[in-house]
Amino acid sequence: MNIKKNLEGQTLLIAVEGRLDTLTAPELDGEIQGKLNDVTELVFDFQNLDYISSAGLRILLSAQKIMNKQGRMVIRGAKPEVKEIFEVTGFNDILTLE
Amino acid sequence: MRISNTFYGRKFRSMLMVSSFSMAAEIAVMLICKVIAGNMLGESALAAVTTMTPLFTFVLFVGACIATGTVLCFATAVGEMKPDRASEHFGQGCIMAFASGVVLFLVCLLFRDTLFALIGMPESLLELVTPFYNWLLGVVLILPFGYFISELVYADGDEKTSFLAYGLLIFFEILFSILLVPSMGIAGISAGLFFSILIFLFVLFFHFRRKQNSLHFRFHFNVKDIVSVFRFSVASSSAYLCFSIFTFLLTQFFLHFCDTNSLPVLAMIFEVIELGAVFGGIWLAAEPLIAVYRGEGNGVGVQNVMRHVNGAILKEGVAMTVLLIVFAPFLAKLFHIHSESILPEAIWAVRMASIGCIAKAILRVYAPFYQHHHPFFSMFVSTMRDLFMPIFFCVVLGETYGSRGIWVGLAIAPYVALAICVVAFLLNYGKKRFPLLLISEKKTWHSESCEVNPENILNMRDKIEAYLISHRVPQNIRYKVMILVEELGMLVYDSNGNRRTYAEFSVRILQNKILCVMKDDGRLLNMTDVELAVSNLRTYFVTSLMAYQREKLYMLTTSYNRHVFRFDIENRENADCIS
Repeated sequence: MNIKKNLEGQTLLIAVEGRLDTLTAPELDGEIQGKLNDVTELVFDFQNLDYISSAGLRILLSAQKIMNKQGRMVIRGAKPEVKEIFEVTGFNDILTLE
Repeated sequence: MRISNTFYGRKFRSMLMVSSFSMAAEIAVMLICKVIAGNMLGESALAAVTTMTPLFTFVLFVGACIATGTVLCFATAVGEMKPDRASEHFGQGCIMAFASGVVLFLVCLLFRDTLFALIGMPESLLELVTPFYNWLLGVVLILPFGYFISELVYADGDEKTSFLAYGLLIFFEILFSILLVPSMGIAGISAGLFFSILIFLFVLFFHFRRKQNSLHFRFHFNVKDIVSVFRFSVASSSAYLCFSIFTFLLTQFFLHFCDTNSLPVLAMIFEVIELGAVFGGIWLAAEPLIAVYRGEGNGVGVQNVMRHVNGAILKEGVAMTVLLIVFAPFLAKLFHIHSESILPEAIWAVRMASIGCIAKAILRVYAPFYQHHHPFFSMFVSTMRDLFMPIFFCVVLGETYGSRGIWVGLAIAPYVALAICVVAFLLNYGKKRFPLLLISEKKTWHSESCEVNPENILNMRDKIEAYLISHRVPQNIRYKVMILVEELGMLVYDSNGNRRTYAEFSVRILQNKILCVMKDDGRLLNMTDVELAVSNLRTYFVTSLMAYQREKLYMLTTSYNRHVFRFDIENRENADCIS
């Protein structure tokens, strides 16, 4: 999995490539935890994300919790298979998908 | 891959230990009666007990006929995910085993004199046999049912209960006999056996209180199903029959053409040949696993188990050969052969018989393997192994070289029988199907097995993905299968804590669907249950997946978890499917 971060003002863009699963999710978690203090908008670019499992959803959920208090969080460009996972689990009601 | 690192290998190994023990215990039951009779009551008592051996063996044979076929029918139904059908087979088997005990009991009670005449009971032993026989009637009544229940409990994957039951059977048989013989005489031996079988049954019934139990009685009696049961038992039953005919013919030949001073050697050799029954334990361990794979139509699973079976055959065959060669002098003395005139021959005979062990082990395992689809070939293997080849070589060499020729015949016969069976197989079924008769069953399946931990689970997921890609399965289906492997595997990992757990994930690509089967030997957990208590995100994720997934089944199988899922391939033109 590849993670690219880009902070512009108070907007943090995180582009995730590859697979977000049990083994790789802690890496993304490390990139987020304690690093969202001044961020008011968190954007996940999932254009090149091929796979997400519950471990990845857990990271998104905890990020969403933080962003609910200090701004907004958006997921962009998710592939149909990834979107289907959000739908199956009801996460599409919690997350903002664009 | 090492046997200890696979799901099926671990299951096979744990079952093999118990099956070998139970086979040895079955042989020991009558041996204990004889040893106690000989040591506590003298030679006449030993002779009296020995005259009853054929009756005991026959009752055991009846129980085996019902149990062997029922285990196969039951496990196949479980493999096909048909729990009701499995319960019908179990229910029918219970009725048959119990009824056969009652019928045998009545026959033995009402036709005692005819039976004694048939056995050729000497007048001198009649007085001694009668009290032994009276209690033996009780054994006849309960033994077929006891044997049946023990086989089914074992086939249901409860090795611990089976092990405990057989251990206590032997312990209490010795204890009761020793305690009862001083007051009851010879009747104490059969009474001790009767009470120990009752305890054996009592312990086995604990299985029905366990969570892992999948044996449920369902009243069922169908002539077609009864025929199926006996059809599947044909190889096992023919083995008993062939051995009886072989012993009879060889004894007659020996009496007419050889030095009768060596007769004790022949008696000992028959017991040594019977020790080969221990190899049957290998098949007993593999059968429940293989029957489930056969029920699924999973040839890869069958092949994987048989790979371990072959390893076990080789190890046990070599071990038995070495032990017999080394302990031949001890064995001869155990059978009270002390005379200098026949002791060297006895030792030599044991060593000769031991040479055939490996070939006999192969034939003993493969004969029942074929009985499921090819009962007649299975019977052919049994008769070659236990009757035609041994009698041919023993008679031909015995006529030329005397009794020593017979012992050489015992060494050669199993290998010739094996060669003939291989040739017969190749002529009948062809080289491609040798030796497991699998072609199409292997093509459609792919299996991965591992110890459950995050790295192994994801590795297994990636291998499954590579297989699906190689068969051009559409991306959306691949994704679902991968999610299933990771999430179910990780849920098994989470719910088992530090307990070492193994899992197997198999996929089958068919014309327009994909079948996924996941097995694990962890704590019992039905992951298809949408009412599963949600304690963390992963459980929530899995229950959401299960609510979404329509084609799903869970079945407790041989005490392990088994989940089956089906995905329809909508865009089948794009998939490289195998029908």
